[in-house]
Amino acid sequence: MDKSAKSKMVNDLENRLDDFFGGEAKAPAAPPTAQYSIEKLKSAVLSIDWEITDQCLTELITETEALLPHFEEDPITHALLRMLRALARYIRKRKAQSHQDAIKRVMSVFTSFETLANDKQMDEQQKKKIVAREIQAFKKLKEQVEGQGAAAAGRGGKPTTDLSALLEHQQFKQVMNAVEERINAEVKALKVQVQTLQKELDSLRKA
Amino acid sequence: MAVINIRKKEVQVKIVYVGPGRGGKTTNLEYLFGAVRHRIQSDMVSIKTHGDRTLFFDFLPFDLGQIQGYMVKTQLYTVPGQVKYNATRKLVLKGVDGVVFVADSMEVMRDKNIASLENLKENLAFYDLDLYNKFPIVMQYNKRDLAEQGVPILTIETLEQDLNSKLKAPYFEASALSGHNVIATVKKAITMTVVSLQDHFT
Ligand SMILES: Nc1nc2c(ncn2[C@@H]2O[C@H](COP(=O)(O)OP(=O)(O)OP(=O)(O)O)[C@@H](O)[C@H]2O)c(=O)[nH]1
Ligand SMILES: [Mg+2]
Repeated sequence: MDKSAKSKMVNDLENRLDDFFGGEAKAPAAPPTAQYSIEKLKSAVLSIDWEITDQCLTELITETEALLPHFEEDPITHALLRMLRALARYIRKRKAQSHQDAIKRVMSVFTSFETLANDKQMDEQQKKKIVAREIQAFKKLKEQVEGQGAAAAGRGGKPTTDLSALLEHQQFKQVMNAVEERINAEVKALKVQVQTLQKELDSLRKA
Repeated sequence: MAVINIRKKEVQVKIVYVGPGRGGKTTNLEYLFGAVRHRIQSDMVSIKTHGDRTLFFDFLPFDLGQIQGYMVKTQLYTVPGQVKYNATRKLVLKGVDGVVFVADSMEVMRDKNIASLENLKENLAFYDLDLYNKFPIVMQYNKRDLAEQGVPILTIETLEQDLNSKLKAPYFEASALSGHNVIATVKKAITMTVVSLQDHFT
């Protein structure tokens, strides 16, 4: 690769890393495009109230994500959307094992979001109060979920891991295979050692 | 070696955090996880003993997206720092593309840092990698914050002399607990590693 191509690659990579980790020196965000609609989000929320499927959860996540950029200037509403997304991701991941209150939280957070998004005149104090309530309930749920996870994982385990998804991960599988190989090799070596010891013992007995 | 799939136009980069026990490797990954968890689908896996010591490794995968037409996937690992777990350390280093060496700035850790770097050299040699021949590595002098609490810490000059006089790797003064320079370290490590794989980006 020639020098200029290389420096372009490094440049691209550095920009990407800045975006990904939230760079120290960031270019100003793109101006928000004015038009958005919360109707689609609403229908996604209503459909999970009706029936919880992967598809509607994915839709809920997609719609939440589509709205996020529009509320970047409004941290309070933004927080609600992020909460909504976190809840949807959690339910999609845990499925039937989700905490029973999680869906209730989705409804409640959405209702608050809708109120804030529709009432642009609402004063900051009032907004903060609504969000504080949601955050508190969200935290409580999170604690309960983590408590559940910890109890299930028992001592030594970390609760938040979805192991089956991880085991799909190629490199992780490789490492696991390597561990298995190593353990097998060690067991074999031990067996050989035990055999030799056994033989030595036998010959000692005979002598 | 990085897994590079030309057909799928995908590059997987494996970066391993190495360093003495209790130096702050896991804390680095935990901080990073906290910083990016909202934008990644994956979870961080930690396998720990009760005392918070890493028993096997920590694992944090994420996709950086398309760069020059390639999907770049990064995988961060930590090894257990405790001397007795060398077999595991070796295993986790299999296929490593780049290293972050997390040194503990505490004065009492001086020899442990040096021994850990020496151990890294040996483990890499096991995979025919030469630490001292253009291997992508970033040094992180961690726990700088301890000075404020009156804990005796090594000066940067001493750390550089002990660990980096031959390597001449880029280094960062950091405090993984507060996150100071944690992101800067990983960014540098990823860039260096990808650059070292540049020939595959044609
Ligand atoms: N003061 C201070 N403490 C830190 C810092 N980084 C890590 N620690 C603490 O050091 C201890 C060990 O940190 P870990 O991240 O678990 O260390 P490790 O390198 O993963 O250790 P092993 O898994 O045993 O190899 C923890 O109690 C951390 O909170 C730091 O920058 N400053
Ligand atoms: Mg650890």
